[in-house]
Amino acid sequence: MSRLWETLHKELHRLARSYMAGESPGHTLQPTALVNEAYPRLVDVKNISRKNRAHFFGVSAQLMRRILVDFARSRRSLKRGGETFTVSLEEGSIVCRARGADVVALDDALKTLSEMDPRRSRVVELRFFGGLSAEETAEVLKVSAETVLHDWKLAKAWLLRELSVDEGVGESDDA
Amino acid sequence: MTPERWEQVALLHRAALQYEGSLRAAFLQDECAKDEDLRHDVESLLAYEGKAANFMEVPALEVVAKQLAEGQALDMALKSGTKLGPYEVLAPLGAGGMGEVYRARDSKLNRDVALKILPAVFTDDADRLARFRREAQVLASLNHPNIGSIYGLEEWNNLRVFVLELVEGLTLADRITESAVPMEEALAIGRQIAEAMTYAHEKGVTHRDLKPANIKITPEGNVKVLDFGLAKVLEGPKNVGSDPSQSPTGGNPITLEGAILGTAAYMSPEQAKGKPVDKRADIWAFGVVLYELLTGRHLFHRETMSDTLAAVLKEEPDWNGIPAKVRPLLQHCLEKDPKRRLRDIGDMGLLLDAASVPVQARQPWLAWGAVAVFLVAFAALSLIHFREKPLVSAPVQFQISSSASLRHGAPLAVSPDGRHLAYSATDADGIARLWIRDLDSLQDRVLSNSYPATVKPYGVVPPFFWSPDSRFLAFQSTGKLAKIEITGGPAQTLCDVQGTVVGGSWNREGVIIFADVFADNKRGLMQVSEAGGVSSPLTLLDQARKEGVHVLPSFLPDGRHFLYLRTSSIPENSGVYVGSLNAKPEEQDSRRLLATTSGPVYVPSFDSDSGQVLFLRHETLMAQPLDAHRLELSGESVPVAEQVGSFLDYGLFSASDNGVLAYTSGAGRNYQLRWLDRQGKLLGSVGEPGGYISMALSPDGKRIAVSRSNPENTPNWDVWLLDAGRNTSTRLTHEQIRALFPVWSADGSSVIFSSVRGGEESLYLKLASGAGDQRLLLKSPDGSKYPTSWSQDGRFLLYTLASPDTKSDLWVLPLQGDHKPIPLLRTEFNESSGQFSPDGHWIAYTSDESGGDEIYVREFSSGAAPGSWDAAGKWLISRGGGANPRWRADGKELFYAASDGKMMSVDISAKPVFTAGQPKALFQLPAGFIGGDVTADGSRFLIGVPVAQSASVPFTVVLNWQATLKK
Repeated sequence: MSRLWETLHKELHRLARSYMAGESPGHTLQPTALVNEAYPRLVDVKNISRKNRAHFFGVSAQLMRRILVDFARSRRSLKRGGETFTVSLEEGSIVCRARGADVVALDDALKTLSEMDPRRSRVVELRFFGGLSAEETAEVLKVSAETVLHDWKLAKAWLLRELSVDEGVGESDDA
Repeated sequence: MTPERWEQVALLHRAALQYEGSLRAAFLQDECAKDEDLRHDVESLLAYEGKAANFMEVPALEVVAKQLAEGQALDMALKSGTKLGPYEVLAPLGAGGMGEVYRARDSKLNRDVALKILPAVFTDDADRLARFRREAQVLASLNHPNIGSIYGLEEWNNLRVFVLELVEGLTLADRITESAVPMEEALAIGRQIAEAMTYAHEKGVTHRDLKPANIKITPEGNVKVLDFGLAKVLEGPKNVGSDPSQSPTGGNPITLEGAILGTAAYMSPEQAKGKPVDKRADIWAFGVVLYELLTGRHLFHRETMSDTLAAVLKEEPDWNGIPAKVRPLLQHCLEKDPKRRLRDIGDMGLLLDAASVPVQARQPWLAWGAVAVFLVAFAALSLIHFREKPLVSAPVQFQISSSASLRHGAPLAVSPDGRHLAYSATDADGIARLWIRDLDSLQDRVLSNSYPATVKPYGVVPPFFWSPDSRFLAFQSTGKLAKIEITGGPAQTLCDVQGTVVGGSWNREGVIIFADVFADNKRGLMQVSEAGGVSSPLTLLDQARKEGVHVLPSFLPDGRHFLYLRTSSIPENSGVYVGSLNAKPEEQDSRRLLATTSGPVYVPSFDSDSGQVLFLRHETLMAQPLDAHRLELSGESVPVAEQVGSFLDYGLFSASDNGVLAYTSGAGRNYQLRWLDRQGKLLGSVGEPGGYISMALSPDGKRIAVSRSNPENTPNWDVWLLDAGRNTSTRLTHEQIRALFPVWSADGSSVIFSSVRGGEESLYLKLASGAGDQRLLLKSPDGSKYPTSWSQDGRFLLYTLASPDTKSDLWVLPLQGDHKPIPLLRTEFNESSGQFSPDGHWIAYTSDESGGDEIYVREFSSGAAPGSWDAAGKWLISRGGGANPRWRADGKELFYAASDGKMMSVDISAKPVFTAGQPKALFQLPAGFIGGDVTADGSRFLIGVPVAQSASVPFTVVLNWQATLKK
């Protein structure tokens, strides 16, 4: 785990640096590649059985999710001096539009989704955190790619709705 | 949500995606017919479908990396002591909507400001940035004591920073979580928020994210609304992001207009649905904030986002704990349909200005005067005042329709709190019932226990009225005055009544006054306690003044005095009078207040003793100021609405205490008389459209006698004769009140009808040539009489008598000899519509002895002993309901209207024994038809067909109607 963490951390900082410099980050490592880089001998991605490949994809996505969410959460608490705060709607919504949701909030929403709908929650995990294509996701879940696309659509709509709106009144605008 | 339920949502969502636009809406409507929640949920997800196109399409890894990049940029830029242009960052203030906020020192102007750093993502798109700058300038131009100022937009390096007025103090969110805010203080706060909104709205700026966390109270007590308009500015029309290299202008970037912004619990229903919003969304949010201030309770907060949104879309606020005076305003702010919502927060501001109360900048909620004015503004919803300053706002008007069938003259009543409209309508089973329309929903509710399945003389129930707390309706139900709770449950008897309850009024002390008309020739208004009991006389008819009825009382605010209508055959005596609970029945004031022929409605005012009397002048609804204290009219009467219908002396309008007016032109009030053949094909029309109520074809088929509301004076009904060939019409009677139910003599020389000259419906005869006066045939105190058929030999008149004891009965009046009326059928059931067969041996009629109206035939023998008829044989003609029987001239065919609206035919053979064939349907009668007669040969039918199919928009509702008084 710590090796993956380091690998991922390195990649994150590489990307962040290029964003800050206003450069296109260029090549982005696929999560599976990152996992592979961290554990070169864990699996030989090119030469594993279909079944194992699906399993590997699934595990990678789960790991990526955990690490990325933890990372984002730690960044947050670092900045807030340990205080928790919720990304407000506007921010969340703008970020959503720009590049995707705040991953911590998304992770929470995804947990809620998985309680009533494990499959669609997995679709999101595999695609968004695991970076898998629809076909790869279908392979992992053993459903058709068409079903994956439908699941993806519905889950995105549900999650965006969940994230677009801020439930709390706790935070204030101290302007 | 359970997984099963969610799976249902998912399936529907997927299925609905195959449809577009209205097809999709229709599909969902069908699929979720009974389940509004389900439909809302699927629709809401579909609304997000489009917005989610680019959502999560960038892998999580990149998202996190970008956040990391931003965070580091901020960390570097804004450490304490960092200088940004003239500003020196002092300390972070926290983060909230749309960015991080720092306290900073403006070294040029020597003041502290707040700096709001916008996320770097805003800066990616040049077009967007330009638009953003323009809009920021507009925001920076807002200058109001209750709005946190935006000083400007600054840009340094790659940072976009709003420079804001630094407002110290607590937010309302802090206040609300502590406890409920005392009412005076809450209203004072609300008033300042309203002023801020008024100002900004006039400048075309909407807040879009009004919530307690955005409203601060300074230590000096000033209210400051923060972040005005920022939500809009930050909401982009374009998707910036997933592909930064997309074409700059020429392309078609995915728009995100209407994307949800705002905090769920304060979000208006239209916002929650992802629809475009305008300033009415702010008005909604204002309502929620005020509600929460007043109650200390969160209104729509729920455990999860979906539940919160569902609550916003569906749940009704609990009004307990909201002071009654504020309730109407809050209710109008919290209308789920934006079209019905209070349209202009500025109305309130203007009122405040008009009352010339200075803005109490320092300690606003200690200034009682301001509070009082605010209360007035709230209670009156921005309207009733007769000061110099004209109101700019127009009243809000909309129309509502009913799924049930509305008969002309069906009463309506708006609840005192303006929340509900009660009306009577007829279901498919032909039974009149009370219906409730909650004015904030699209749903009608039927009070199934309201009326028993009885047939009224006109098929129209008498006017009903509300309890002062808007919980009960009082109405007449077969010999009783009853009340029923509008949330359901059984009707409870209040007292017995002798005649017909034509209107009533219910005061706050629990006294109910009502009209009991046609009971006898003395009884006027009666009174009874809301707890029920025996009623006692309140007013008496004055025979010397030739009074007909005392009806339609309306309490004045003191709960002791009331307005009511007296009718008289002497026109000068007809009009509105003022009565008092303290006066003895024989000592009521007999000075006429107002000349009119329909009942008055009094609407109180909140800022003076002078309310308004609403009454009809022809078809125009008029309002005239009345000082309820001095009981005097003042000023001029002013028209309020046109084309308001009436039924007899009942004007088809109603008004709440708080500015809601409802009226109808009378559904299908205008009918066109039409000829139809046996297949129902239209052969032609007769005469002009008019308010016809009953019609009879002359034996030769060339003329039509019809009772018609007067074109120039609606409350009066006269008998007219229409020449079918020449299409001309002449007025046969000249009634003060009404002449109804004409029937022809066999030779077509005379017409008999009923008239209320002298107090009750009595039988009169007039020559069809119009020559001479009309002659009284029968007047007696035993009840109202309606002629139905005149025998071929001219010897007998068949009529219906509406008896207080035995409901409607069949009677015969011999027109020769002793003229002594003979009761034919006097049972506990309703019998009516008696028709002599052409040979005079048979009578066809309707009776509800089986539970519903059916057609029967009995033998008629003029020599039979009175009363023997009850025991004689009868034949059931109709199957499953029937009304309005008519014979063919040879007596071999009988027609009637079935309850499903079909014209039916039955073969009759009288010899050697009476036999009736199976009923055959001829054709479907037009919806909402009235009357019906048939030519001698049975080939053509005369039917009254509603001209405007107004059944779809029967009621007009006006909020704020008093605003029309000043233009």
